[in-house]
Amino acid sequence: MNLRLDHKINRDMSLQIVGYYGYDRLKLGLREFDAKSYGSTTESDTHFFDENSNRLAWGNWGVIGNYDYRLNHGMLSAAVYYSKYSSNYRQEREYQTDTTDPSTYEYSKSHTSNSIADIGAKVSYMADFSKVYTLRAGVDYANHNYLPEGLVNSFLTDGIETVENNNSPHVTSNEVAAYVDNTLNFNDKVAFSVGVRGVVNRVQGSTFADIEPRASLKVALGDNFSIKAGYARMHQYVQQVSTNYIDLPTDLWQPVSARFKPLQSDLYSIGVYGNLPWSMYFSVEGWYKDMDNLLEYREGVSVLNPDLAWEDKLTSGKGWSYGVDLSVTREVGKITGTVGYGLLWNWRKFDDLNQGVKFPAKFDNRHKININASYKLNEKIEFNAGWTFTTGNRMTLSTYNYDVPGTMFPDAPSPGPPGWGDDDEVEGVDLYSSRNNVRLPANHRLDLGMTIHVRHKNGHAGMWNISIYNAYCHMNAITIKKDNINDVFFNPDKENWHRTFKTLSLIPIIPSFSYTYYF
Amino acid sequence: MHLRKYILATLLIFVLASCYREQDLDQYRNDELSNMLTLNSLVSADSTVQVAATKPYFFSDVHKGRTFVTNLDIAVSINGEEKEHMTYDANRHLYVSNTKVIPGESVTVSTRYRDKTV
Repeated sequence: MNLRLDHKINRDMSLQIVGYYGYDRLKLGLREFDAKSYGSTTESDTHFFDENSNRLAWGNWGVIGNYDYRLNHGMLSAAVYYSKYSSNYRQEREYQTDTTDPSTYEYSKSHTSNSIADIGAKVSYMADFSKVYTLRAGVDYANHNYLPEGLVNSFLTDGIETVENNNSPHVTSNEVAAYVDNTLNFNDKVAFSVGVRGVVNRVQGSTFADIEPRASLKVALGDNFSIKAGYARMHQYVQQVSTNYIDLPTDLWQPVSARFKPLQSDLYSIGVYGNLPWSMYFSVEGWYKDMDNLLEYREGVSVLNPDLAWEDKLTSGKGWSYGVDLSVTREVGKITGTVGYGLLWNWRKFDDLNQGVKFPAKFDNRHKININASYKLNEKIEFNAGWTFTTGNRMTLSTYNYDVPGTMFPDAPSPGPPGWGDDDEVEGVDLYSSRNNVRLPANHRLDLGMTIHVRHKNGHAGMWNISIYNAYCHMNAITIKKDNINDVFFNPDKENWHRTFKTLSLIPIIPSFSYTYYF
Repeated sequence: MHLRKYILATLLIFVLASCYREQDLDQYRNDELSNMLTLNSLVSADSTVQVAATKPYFFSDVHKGRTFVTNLDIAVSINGEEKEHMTYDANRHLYVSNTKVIPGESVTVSTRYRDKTV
């Protein structure tokens, strides 16, 4: 939900107030309960249920007031804002072995919450002093209030309820930044931009003072081609860290702290751009990105452990990625088409992960292809289509299993170590070779859409949008799991055991429509 | 906005249409992992030292029994002093010894496998 109010005070001054709110919820679950066997007419002796559920909720809201003032050759803007992001993830299991006996009811629940509340102000000025020189400058201040990890676990076992709580520790930081960017257009042939941003962030008694220089140079090569090279350093004071192979919107945002420095990245890029025959435009860009102080969860640490501080679950390391992006666009009459291709490598190296050896990042997606086309039938109706192909994400999966002692020692006078038993006897123990060792199958899908513009009698405009996501319903895999088709407990015939790897896919074809009304 | 729209539209479809499919991961077979040696040993004061030597198995393989490694030369040491070399009992699929230990002693079993000391 969005709300925007604009007020033009006079020729030189205007005021805007913008508010927004959005919140999403998602629930996945499974309930098992007793039922009669097929063809059976007799009731079972006991009645039970076992229900698992995962609830995700995330969203944000905010309000910003902005004041613009035309000053000399440019525009002076001042704004104050407040925003709040929050997410919750609940994992719950409730079960009762005999629904006629209340004492057999038990549960285990885990509730993880995460939030960021920002309040800030910023002032900026942008001006074109001539055709040659453009200035952008500004000052920002923000107060961040983070809840890195609120964790409450509760259990009911044998009628006794146990609650574990990490008391939701908050982290507050104050951030001040100032920047200036200068763009010089010497002539139609050469454009040079240079700028710098300074940031001071104070958190938990520690102060991080960072300088972010940036520069780019664009040179025209004849009438149809140009070359551009750029460099930019950036710092990030909060990172979203994923607990597993699936990226969830409820993954926790973790701030910098006295222990963890800001994420620093250096991006180097160079590209060639130009016009080709037959009304085609192309771009070729090569880039290299170096990252330091990336955060990941430690190996062997339970993220649901409330006795472990959120910082103790994390570790920091380096990353680097590089690639080439190609793009060709052509317009023919009412049809516009773009073909894009990306070639990417993405690496990580953490002292505490993968035995200190470099490993591919989760998003080490080697190839990306995007083909988009739009057709404007008339002023009211427009069609568009897009096909996307991406090499699959990487994940950590044990492809081998090794044996545990089990019944190999029949003469042993005492039970074996943990892992003893028929289940482990057959399945063995997962053998992990390296982090992100397996690549998921490639993703691809076709999206189709149609937009219809309408104009109402009152003069206001509206827009219908009808779209089909994943038009040919390709079930793209989001993870791979190991599965025993014949369960050990229900199939004593171990000769017929059939183990297999299985992909899990969630999103099929999704038709949707929306209507936008312009006030 | 588009992502949010898609997620909302799939709230029910998620539950109804999720699916599993078998996936061939043979490309991840690995000679080093296939031949990795696992030594399991239970040591107690009332019995002799015994060792089981097996290899891992690729998860999706038909696995009717363990893959035993039978040609090892395994030495048993007590408190750092080598006591004997174990013999292989083919019926029990175990390397056996005559060495008995008493509580508090440090027991080491070691062998050479694929040019590495285990």
